[in-house]
Amino acid sequence: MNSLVREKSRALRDVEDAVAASRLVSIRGSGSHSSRLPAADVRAATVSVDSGIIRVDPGEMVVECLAGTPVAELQEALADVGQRVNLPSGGTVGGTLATSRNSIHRLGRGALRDAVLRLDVVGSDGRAYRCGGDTVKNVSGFDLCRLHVGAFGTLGVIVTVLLRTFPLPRSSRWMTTSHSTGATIVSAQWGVTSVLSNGRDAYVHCEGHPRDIDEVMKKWKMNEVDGAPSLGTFRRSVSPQKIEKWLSTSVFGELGVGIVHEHSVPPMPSIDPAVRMLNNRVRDQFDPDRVLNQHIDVLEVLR
Amino acid sequence: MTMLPRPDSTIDVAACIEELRRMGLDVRTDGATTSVYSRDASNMSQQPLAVVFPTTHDDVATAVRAITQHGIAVIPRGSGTGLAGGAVPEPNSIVVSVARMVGTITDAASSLRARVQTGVLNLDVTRAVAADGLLFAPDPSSQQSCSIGGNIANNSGGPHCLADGVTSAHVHAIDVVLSDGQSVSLGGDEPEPPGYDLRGAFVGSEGMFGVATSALVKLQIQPPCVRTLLAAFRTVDDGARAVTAVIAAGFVPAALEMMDSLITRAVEEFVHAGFPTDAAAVLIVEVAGLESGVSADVDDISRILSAEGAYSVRVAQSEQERALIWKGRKNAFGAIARIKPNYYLHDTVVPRSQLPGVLARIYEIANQNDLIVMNVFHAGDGNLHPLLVFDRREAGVMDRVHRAGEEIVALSIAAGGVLSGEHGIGFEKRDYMGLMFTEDDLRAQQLLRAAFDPRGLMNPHKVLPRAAGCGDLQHVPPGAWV
Repeated sequence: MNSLVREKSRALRDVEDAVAASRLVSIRGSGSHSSRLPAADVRAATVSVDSGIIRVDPGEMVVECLAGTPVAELQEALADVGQRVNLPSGGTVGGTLATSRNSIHRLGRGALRDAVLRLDVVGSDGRAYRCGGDTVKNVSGFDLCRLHVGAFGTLGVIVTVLLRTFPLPRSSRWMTTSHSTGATIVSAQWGVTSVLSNGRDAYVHCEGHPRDIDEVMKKWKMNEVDGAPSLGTFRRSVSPQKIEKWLSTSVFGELGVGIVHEHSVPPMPSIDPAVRMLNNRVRDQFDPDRVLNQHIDVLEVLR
Repeated sequence: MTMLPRPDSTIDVAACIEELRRMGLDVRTDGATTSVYSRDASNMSQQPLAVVFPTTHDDVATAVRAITQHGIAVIPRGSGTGLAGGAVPEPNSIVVSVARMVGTITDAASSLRARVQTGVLNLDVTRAVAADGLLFAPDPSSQQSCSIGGNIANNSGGPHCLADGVTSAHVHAIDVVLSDGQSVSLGGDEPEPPGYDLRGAFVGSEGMFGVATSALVKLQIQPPCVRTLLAAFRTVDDGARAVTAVIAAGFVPAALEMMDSLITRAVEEFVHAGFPTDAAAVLIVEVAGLESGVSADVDDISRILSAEGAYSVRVAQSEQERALIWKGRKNAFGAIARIKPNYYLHDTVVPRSQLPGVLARIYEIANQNDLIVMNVFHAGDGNLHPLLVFDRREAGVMDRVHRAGEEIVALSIAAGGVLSGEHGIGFEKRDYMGLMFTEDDLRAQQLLRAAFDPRGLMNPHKVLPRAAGCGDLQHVPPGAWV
């Protein structure tokens, strides 16, 4: 058994012991999201997962790490082999998954949850179990990985993570155009990973061969810019067909996706009673005694 | 061989059927119908008590509520093209077919989404939006006949899922009827709906969490430039190594498929697409995107294929030529009837780097069991589809087919792989789940099932083996070899 496999086993055992020893557990990543969450019970034991890359495997296009690994460290290791993962920058891998924080490139790169192939999780009873499998394609059993992405640690502690990787693109570029052109580009232009608009100006991000991006820029009469506009840090999730009404000079939204980047706390959406019932039933099954992150209600949490 | 239903004496089947009819639902109990609905595309069968054909979400809710109130199990069914017995009834069950739920596709194509009832066929979604320059990415080989409901139940894939991902990545929201008849919308039109990702949990649940009645699916822009390469190799090993080499060099083709010599020759006789019949292995590599990127990728990939031993690399010169190559690939299973009348198809996945060794061993296993094996599969994601071909009339042949199948499954798991890449577990691989998962892993899956269906009346006895089945009376229909 090599040292990394030992490290993985030890991390799992440590979290199993920590959860088994406590009736109340608060899970912490880098703490980058904690100011948005209600305070944990002072009696709760804080559990953090170690950092460490277990395996970078460019041939299989996967990477495995402990949940406490900083996203930046993971991306750096992958860049060395010409790859990346579809995670936004900042925070830890586990924290990013638990809070389901998607990048602004969801339009072209897909949702964060689709990057997850396998998780090792410690349940509320302090026992570890595995979700998913090691291959890029797998429909063996129910999809527990997606259940844990965005669960804010209320169903289990994510300890190890196996993610699908992608090759780095040949080149990428941010360009600007009008809102209306940006809106057209969303459903008409291949190779676009993000269109951010404030209702007047749109910032368009393209990835691919530099000559193709030149063509796209020319076709839509866009101008190259250094990067994305500055965005608010709060997220409002709306139908992409209705996003325009939420945009203003300083408030940008992701066209084609439906995330509005607000500068202040948006109101909580109303919850369908049937959705609430089913969410409660899931939590009752996985954590009947509310051991894990008791202070968080995923239906009311600020993203 | 089929079995007649064995109604539980404590349930009143006649009263349930009478109730369903009183509610205006089309319920069939005649032998011809129950016989048709006793099987899917697997080789298992079991007659249901009845088959219901709802046309609306409310019909489904009414039917499910009435059926489960009588303590009878519900078998949700799309087109019945599943290969793992996921839609095969159990003795005390009524099939709820969504085949008539083919409601018009709505919602603006400009928003890259379409609202479809779950009886709509996979290919009909792409056909409906093709004129707008869009497509629905999951493309199982059965896409002309499989339904969106079945795709959701099995989290279906297809050749083009290598770059684009399987069904779960292409479904925003699902309207569902739970086992007590309650309706719930999972996911949403917005990207980050509150709560757990119950949409993601539902996709791939093989009909055991509820009946999906409609879905909001994601559409993609058709790639403006597509090139398809056909590479011929002198050995299967060379072909398998080339697959890993392409991916390791940083390319994710839109599709990367492999066919061995037997299947290539059978297909070529069938479609006349110009497949190299002297090759031991053929790779179909499709690259999609914008012109310059595609041209550069085609050049680079061609070089890699040649360096890995391809003795010919041909790029399809026209859309007709490309269509013919795909017609050959997607109709491969039809072509095998020319060799033997029956086949058994497996669906394991192994890490790509393991493909050369695993393929070599699969041929040995077939040989040792005196069977013919043909390989046609999604090589890019390591998703094997070894076809064991045989003539059922030969004495003792089924034993050899089952033994070889077991050895292939065990081999794949030992190589770090998984039981199923896209066909699902159903009845077929249920009792193999223990090879891949521990009891704790399976218990967690059972917790999720119990949250959606506390009474265990939705498509019972599938996927989870006995230990995790938690009170489900285990039953495997005739034809299964688990």
